[in-house]
Amino acid sequence: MTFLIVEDEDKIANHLFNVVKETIGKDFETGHIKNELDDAIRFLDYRNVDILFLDLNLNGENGFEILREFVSRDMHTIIVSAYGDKAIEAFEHGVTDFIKKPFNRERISKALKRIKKLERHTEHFIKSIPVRNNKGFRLISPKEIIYIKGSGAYSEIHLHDGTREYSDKSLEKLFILLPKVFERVHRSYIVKMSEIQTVIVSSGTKYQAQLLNGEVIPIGRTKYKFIKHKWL
Amino acid sequence: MRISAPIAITIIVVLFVQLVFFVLYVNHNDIYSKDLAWAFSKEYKEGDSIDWKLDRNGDQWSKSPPDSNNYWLRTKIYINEELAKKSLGIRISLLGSYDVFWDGRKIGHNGAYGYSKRSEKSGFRYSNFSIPFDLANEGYHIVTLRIASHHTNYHGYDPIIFVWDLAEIITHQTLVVAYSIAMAGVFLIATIYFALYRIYYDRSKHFLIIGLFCFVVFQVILLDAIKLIVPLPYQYHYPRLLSVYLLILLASWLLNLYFILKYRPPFGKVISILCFIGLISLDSIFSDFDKDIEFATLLSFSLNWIVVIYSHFTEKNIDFSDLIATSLCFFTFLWFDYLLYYSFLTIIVFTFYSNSRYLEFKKKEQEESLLKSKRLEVELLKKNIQPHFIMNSLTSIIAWIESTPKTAVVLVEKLAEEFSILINISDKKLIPMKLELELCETHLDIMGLRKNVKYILKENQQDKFVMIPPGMVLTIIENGISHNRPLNRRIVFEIDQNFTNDMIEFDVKCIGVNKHEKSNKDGTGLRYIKARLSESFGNKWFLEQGPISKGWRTQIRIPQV
Repeated sequence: MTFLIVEDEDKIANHLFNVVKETIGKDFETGHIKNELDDAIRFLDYRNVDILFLDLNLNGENGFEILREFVSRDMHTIIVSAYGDKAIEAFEHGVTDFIKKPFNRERISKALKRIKKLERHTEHFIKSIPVRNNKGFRLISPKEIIYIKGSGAYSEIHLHDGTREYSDKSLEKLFILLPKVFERVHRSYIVKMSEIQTVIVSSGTKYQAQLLNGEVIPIGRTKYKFIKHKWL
Repeated sequence: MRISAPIAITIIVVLFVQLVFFVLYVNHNDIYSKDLAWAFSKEYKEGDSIDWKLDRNGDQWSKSPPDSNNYWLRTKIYINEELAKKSLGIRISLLGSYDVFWDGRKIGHNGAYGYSKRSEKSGFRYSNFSIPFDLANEGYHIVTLRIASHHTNYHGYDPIIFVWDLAEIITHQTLVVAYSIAMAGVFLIATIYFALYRIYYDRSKHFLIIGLFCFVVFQVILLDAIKLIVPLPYQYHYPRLLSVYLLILLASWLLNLYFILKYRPPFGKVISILCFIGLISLDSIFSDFDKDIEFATLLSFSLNWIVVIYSHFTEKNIDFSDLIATSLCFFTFLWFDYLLYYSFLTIIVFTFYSNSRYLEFKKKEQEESLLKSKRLEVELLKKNIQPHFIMNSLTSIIAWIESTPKTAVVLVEKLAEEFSILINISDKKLIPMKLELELCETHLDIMGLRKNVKYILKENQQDKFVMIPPGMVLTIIENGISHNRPLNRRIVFEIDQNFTNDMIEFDVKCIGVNKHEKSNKDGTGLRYIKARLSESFGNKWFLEQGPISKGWRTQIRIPQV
């Protein structure tokens, strides 16, 4: 597991580094510290990390604008901030977790566990997913999504209006941010449950979901039981 | 209950209308409009003879008063049927001592007749005599007066003689006295009000002038009415009239001076001097006191109106009350004798009104400035309780406890020190530089431990007791820390003091690497400094800032206290 800490206070950055490294334990691969946002963005342009611990002054005018620059990337963004009251807004922007300062080991460990288990938050979820297309940068709301198809390093988001958008985030990383109405029905598919019209069971224990718009997507064999139990 | 400006103005206008009606009421009781028996054709005869008391012959009686101080006056009065039914009195107003004869019978005397200044005992200006019932029948009657006037050389006064119900004569006189006393009281109270206002509240000169004006008007009214209040020997008539005349000229000039001092128009002095010259030169234009007074007030009112109108068109701060008051003054000339004091009164009432508005405004301003200063105090205290500072400091302390507990103790101590300095200075508008520097050093120690950067404060202070707004340098340093990158893990702050003329310049250089972020021109820190500077120095301060080759420079100039 790799991580990057963006924190302008040296002492806090080092302390956080030690705590995170300890908590990850044997899965630890590399960890980095950057004091400045610009340095961090330059670093991320040629290096991938699994988790970003970001200290951002969310009290300023452009705090969330800077945040968008980070959350669109394929990594889990965890905010470590003195401004605890900004948590809800941060979640809506697509952060995986929000840790208030001063933090302790338990809180860091809880955050890492959630990422590992792909646990979703019960009350917070993303309100706008940043995607890149040929026109540049766009924010889409979960309401517009029918299903998401994972294809390697990026995800293909299918929208109600028939168009597709592409996110740099992997399917797992998107899944953890999305509201509960989205389920992972297959290794490569996340679908909004209300979009499923019927489940087609074919011979050879092949499961498929017939969507309201006529499209058919596969359901994983292992997922079928879970979905049937929870939704049908 | 709060009353809005339009309502207040309406109330004042209504009161004014009521006053006008009061004048009309007085006029209704005006003796000139009554059914009186007037003595019109007066005839005079120089010398003295008791035989003249019922002289029906026309010879040797002339129409014009003689130059002599011993003479007789003869006149005819017609008593109609209506008057004949009443118990009549005769009212005589002339300058002299005299015996009164009604159809040849002596009905009274005023003073004591004499042939020299010594033997004559001066009579009063006004006298009323009861007419014997048996002589007051319908028809023509002859009234003769045996007059001595050794106490005056003023012969220009035309005697006023009439016959009316005696009780009505007394009532009318009382009414006029009541009106005058009431009016005088208003101006006396106004004098006291403006005197106290000027002494205890606003030391502006124009309040002194309007106070003097009120006092002069108070004197004028009393002098005017005194002839009816106390029996005044006739020789005082002329000096009294002259005093009234001069005092009204003075009042007119003071009123004009008041508006000039209040609005300070260009050429104010010239206008005031012209007004003064105009007023004193009136004497040579008209021979008549009454005309003089009328033109004097017209001159003053016109100049006041011009000053007020000019100020209203050139200044944005419009106080309509003076405009209304100076405009209403022109109604005086519809009915000068009665309305003059009401015009003065109108100006005073509107001045009371605008003073009250001014006090209200001042109170609001004071409350606002208090609120602002409280807000600044809170803002300074917030520096240390805002999440960014306190949460990061606490996180740092935890980090230090885990690695080097001794340093954590130092950090806690420094934090305590910064808190205690801030609590001490936050409610002050100015603090000595020395205290501010202690605060800055403590803050830099804390930030040094938190960021692992060496912050160095270099100060070349000539005067450590110069008074500056609390948190001024601290805020600059905070901005320096957040907007500059350390150079070789160091940021140096250089503080210099330069003295120029009456100003002190603080030159704060933050030497590091500027992050060249978006311009922080209107950051909360800078807004705080500007608000504090305005609070203590009004607009007599300068703040300049900008990047330098290695970092950031802030220059602040404040007046030397």
